[in-house]
Amino acid sequence: MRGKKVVRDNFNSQRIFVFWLKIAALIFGIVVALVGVLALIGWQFNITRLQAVDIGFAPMNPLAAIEFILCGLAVCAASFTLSAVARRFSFFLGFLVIVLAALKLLDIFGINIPVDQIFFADKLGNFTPPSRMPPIAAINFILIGLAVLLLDLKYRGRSVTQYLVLTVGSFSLFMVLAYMLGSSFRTLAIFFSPLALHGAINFMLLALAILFLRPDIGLTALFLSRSGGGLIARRLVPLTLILPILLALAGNCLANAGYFDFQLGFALVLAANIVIFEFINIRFSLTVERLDAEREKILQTVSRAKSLDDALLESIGEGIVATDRQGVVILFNWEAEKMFGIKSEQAIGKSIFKLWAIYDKDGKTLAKKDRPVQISLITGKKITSSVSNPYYYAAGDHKIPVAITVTPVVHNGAIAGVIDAFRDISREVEIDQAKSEFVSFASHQLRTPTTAISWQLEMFLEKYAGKLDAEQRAVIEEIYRSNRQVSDLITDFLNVSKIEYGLAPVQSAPVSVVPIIEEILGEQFRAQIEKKKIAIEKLFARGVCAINVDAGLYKLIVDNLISNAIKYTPENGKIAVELKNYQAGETVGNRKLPQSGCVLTVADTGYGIPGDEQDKIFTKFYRTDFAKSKNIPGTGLGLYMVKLFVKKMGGEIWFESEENNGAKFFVLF
Amino acid sequence: MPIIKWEENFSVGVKEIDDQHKRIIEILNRIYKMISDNQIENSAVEQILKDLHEYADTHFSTEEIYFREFDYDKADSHIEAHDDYRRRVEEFRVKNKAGLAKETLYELSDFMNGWWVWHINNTDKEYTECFHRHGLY
Repeated sequence: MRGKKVVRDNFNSQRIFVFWLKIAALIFGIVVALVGVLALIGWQFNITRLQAVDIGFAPMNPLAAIEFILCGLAVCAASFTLSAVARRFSFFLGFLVIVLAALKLLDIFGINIPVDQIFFADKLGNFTPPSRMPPIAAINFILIGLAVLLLDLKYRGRSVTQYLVLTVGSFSLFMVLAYMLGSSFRTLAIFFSPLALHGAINFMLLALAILFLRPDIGLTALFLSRSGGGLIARRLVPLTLILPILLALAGNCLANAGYFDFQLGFALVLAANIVIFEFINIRFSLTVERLDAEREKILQTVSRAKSLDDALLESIGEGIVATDRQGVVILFNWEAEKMFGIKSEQAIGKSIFKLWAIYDKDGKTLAKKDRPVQISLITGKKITSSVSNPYYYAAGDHKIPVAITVTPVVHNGAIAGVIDAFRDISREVEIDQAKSEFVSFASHQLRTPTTAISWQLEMFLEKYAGKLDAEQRAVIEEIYRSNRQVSDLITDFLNVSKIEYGLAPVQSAPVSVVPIIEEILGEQFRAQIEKKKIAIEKLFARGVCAINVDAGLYKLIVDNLISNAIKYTPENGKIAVELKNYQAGETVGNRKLPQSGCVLTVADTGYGIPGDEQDKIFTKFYRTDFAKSKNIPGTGLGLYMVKLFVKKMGGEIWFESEENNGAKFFVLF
Repeated sequence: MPIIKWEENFSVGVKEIDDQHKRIIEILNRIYKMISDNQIENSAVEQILKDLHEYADTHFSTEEIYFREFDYDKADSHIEAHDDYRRRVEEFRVKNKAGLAKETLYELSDFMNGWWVWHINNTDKEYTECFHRHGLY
């Protein structure tokens, strides 16, 4: 939280900085235009200070004054970045500036169009030489005009305009320095004919204004950046700009004061400049060297970490493929190579969707949109498959069953790609199939004869009803009962195996359980209950509506608990079935509930469970001594199955009982 | 070869109804054949449940029409037995629809034969005297 806040504050302060730089650009534009206006006033009223700053200085040509007004306005208009009209207006002004300056510049090529002699033509000759716009001014105006037009143009990520205005700034700096050092501008080259002092300063202001107009790109951005580059720029630029100027001025003063001749002063300035620049150069080189050493160290650490990652990826027994957000493979480990027979070099750079096909467990090819990688890329969710519900990967004809985990790689809140980890589960699928076949085979092999015996005995008993004596009938009925017990055992075995081996999915959904219990008590066990004259008490609390279970399994749980209660309760006993919601922490039976939920209680007044057998009753095939001695029918799978199903659905089961004092079973969901 | 067959002493003395019982026994034999062939699929179990439901309905209706016509005194308890049967068949259909074909068929086999054999030989035979009295043979 703290880190995030700091980042946002920096961002805000930078935005405020950008805003103020734009305001500065606007002010500079206004100043430049005002200087132009003042110069024109100077021409109108013959005020030398406004025309040329000082006697003997070059005057600002009226055309240049007009161009400055246009440039100033263009910069002001461009500072209103959100207005399209203002932008178009600045384009127009920039274009006009270029045209006027270009017309003037043509005289270099011998084409003389005297645009700089139109305004105040009669007064231009008041100066010696007569006022003309110098070529360097025309070039500067063209560059400024172009900069206004190309304000947002970038070439290889760099701002073009900033280089244009730096050229303008350099020319102008040269002129300002010449004035400061008291040059008389004696030159044979027309290119070096002087700018007016306020003209040169105006150009520097325009150059700065244009740099400030786009503070978030190019050189300005570098200057403002928090990086090492920005830091060096901020330290070196003022130093390299101011020191030489101060040295030059000092040398000039000393020479003028007669301490030494001009050549000696020039040599001193040059030497001092060289020393200072070399000092800066060495500092800069040392900094770069230190940064290089740090980078090397980081690279080594990264490289070590990568070697470790590589070794880790190769030693994992799972195929691992990483993709970018288009599904193009960027990593392909050895296990994946082995599984598909594709080399990592061949796989990297290719779309994962073209490298292999995926089939579902019914053998249907998955379309791209249904493939786990694509789903994960779009939804950002982790996708897994299990042994009982495998996908099949196939690079050729050979389909390999796989268990997969596709995990999205999220970077800065956006999905950057996925990691597809998969494992060949051919062996598990084979075992699964074998288990399934065994259960199917065993139940079929045992079921066919028991059904045949059962049905024929039912027919036999009815066919010879009345012809059998009591003893014969008792023997046949005993055979029949034993056979039914085998049938029950097979049914229980089938139910248990399906859940134990995961052959049938547990499908939990909100289920209204009261009707299930009513039906079991009514239809299913009515005859037995009536026969033993057992009283049934039903306590279904209001508000117990639906719980999240698999209806089929819950029915088997209730079925077994009530069937046991009936079996172990003597005649004229009582069975109470209760359904009630409890909060976590409440005590039910002898247990504090770990979570809130609905508790089913089946309580009987039967023989109970002796203390030494209480920890064994949920064991597979365990039958109590009492059940064995009284020949109570049972498979020994009932309570084992009940506990298995309860656990499978995330519930809890416990009981309390005393020998000869009934038993109470509690089931929490 | 069918595992069970209609026996002469299962006759309720009314030809039309005996013929219907013979059809029921044919359907029961199909259940056993499915178990012994181990050909147990949801669709096949659904088909046999449909037949058990529809044919039993036809048969029960036949009986219930005669009950009303002859004003049979044990009609109420008899019809209640029919309704119990209808409910059980419906339960089996629900279970089968949940994808538990094998379990459904095994439980069906535990229930169906016993129910019919007992129903024919006990409950149905009680109306023979009444039907004969009204001239139905």
